[in-house]
Amino acid sequence: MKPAPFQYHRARDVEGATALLAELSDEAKVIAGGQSLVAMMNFRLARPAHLVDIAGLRELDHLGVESDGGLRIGALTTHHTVETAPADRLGAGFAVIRDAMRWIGHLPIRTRGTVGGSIAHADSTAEWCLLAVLLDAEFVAQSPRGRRRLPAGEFFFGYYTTALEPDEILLEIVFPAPRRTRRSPSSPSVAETSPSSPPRSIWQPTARTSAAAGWLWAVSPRCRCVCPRRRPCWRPAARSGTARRRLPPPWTRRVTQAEAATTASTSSAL
Amino acid sequence: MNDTTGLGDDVQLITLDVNGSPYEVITAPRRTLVDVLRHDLRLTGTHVGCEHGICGACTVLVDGLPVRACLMFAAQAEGARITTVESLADSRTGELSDLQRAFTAHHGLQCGFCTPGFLMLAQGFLAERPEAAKEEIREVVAANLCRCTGYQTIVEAIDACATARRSQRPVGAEEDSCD
Ligand SMILES: Cc1cc2nc3c(=O)[nH]c(=O)nc-3n(C[C@H](O)[C@H](O)[C@H](O)COP(=O)(O)OP(=O)(O)OC[C@H]3O[C@@H](n4cnc5c(N)ncnc54)[C@H](O)[C@@H]3O)c2cc1C
Ligand code: FES
Ligand code: FES
Repeated sequence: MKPAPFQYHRARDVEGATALLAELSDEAKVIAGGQSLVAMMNFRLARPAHLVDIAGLRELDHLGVESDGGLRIGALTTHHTVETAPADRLGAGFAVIRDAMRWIGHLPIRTRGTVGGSIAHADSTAEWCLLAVLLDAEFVAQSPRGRRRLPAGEFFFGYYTTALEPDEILLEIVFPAPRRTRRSPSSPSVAETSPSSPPRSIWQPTARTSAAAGWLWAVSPRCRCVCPRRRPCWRPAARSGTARRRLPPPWTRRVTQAEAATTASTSSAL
Repeated sequence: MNDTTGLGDDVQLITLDVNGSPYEVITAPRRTLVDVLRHDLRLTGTHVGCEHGICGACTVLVDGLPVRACLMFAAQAEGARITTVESLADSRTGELSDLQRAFTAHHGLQCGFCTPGFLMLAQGFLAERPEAAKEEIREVVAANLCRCTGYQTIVEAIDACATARRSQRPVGAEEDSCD
């Protein structure tokens, strides 16, 4: 199918883009690589009246290791850039991130799909969302009200639902220097085990760590969450594709180890 | 230029660089790159199947990398170098490129619907990874769907083209020798 009509805006800087998003409110969506949004618009699952194209903001396309050993990745960095990044840019202990890239769709998806788009889209089976949660990443977001840092553990509320406000743009994702995780002190972290392991090995620790944490997104098809306007949010969420509403705590429930293991082994990403 | 969209909504002027030629198109923002290539520029070599990134029939190169032309609005392609299947054969003599000849020699196509997508996928991939092993080619080819061939012949065609290119020049050379 073809997308519904919309107005196209090309952002020149982050400030201008967030101001425009604030002005247009729920009518507008950010577009980065378009690998999730355009597919949803083609199906008319998303029908934004305005698109704010941030792909030209090259300052958000970067990848590098900090002096403290942490890794900063700009929101507009493509999966392909990470996949092909030389070892010195990715830093020691982060090979698991590069190795995970080949599991994201296929080459022509990875050449355009971005890190920030994956995180903001918040498909619970997305590699970036898992990596961010498992490796305790933080996200930096900007709105007309300023910048804030959000820990990955508090960012995802459920399928396609995050703490991002409609006028907020994700600027970068920051991974701390690899260390033993708080969740599984007895076993080495994914980042520590990965560099010498074959790519496939990431799935074992991933599934086990999720199960051990007893944490997984769990969604009811018609949630009872409330949007800022106090309306049931499942309708606008279904229409606009990627919902960005705040959800009350009951929506995220703890799951049993058995459930977590089943979900981790059967899930597949689009 | 006239509004060739027939879409009746807001239109905008965009300039595109396709196969080295500049084009000005007045089109609606909701027009995807594959629709502009086919309907506005009449470059119908690029095919369209699923329109959600799965089949790969619409694969073209943007700044040298393979992308889905159905998952990109034409307006997003402004300022980029777009390369379609029409660029492969010699435009004056019509002589097919080495990659196209390899597809013919190895029976890498039957109905041919998927072929432009596979050709551009392979073209972009081999430019970046001229030393690619057959296993890598097999993995990359999984990006696109073919209903006819069973893929084996496509993998063999791309591998044969890569091997032939390697024997003509040192591995890792930047220059692309497709035509
Ligand atoms: C065939 C196919 C297979 C795929 N397979 C996988 C897979 O196996 N694993 C996987 O993880 N993903 C997969 N994807 C999705 C892919 O990873 C996308 O790249 C990603 O989900 C979205 O990134 P994008 O830059 O394309 O975002 P877009 O599609 O442009 O945007 C997606 C959403 O994020 C918002 N957004 C984008 N950037 C920002 C930003 N900087 N700040 C705030 N909001 C923003 C948009 O408003 C939109 O709501 C697949 C996609 C396709 C088409
Ligand atoms: S038409 Fe673009 S991937 Fe199928
Ligand atoms: S040759 Fe018919 S679909 Fe590939």
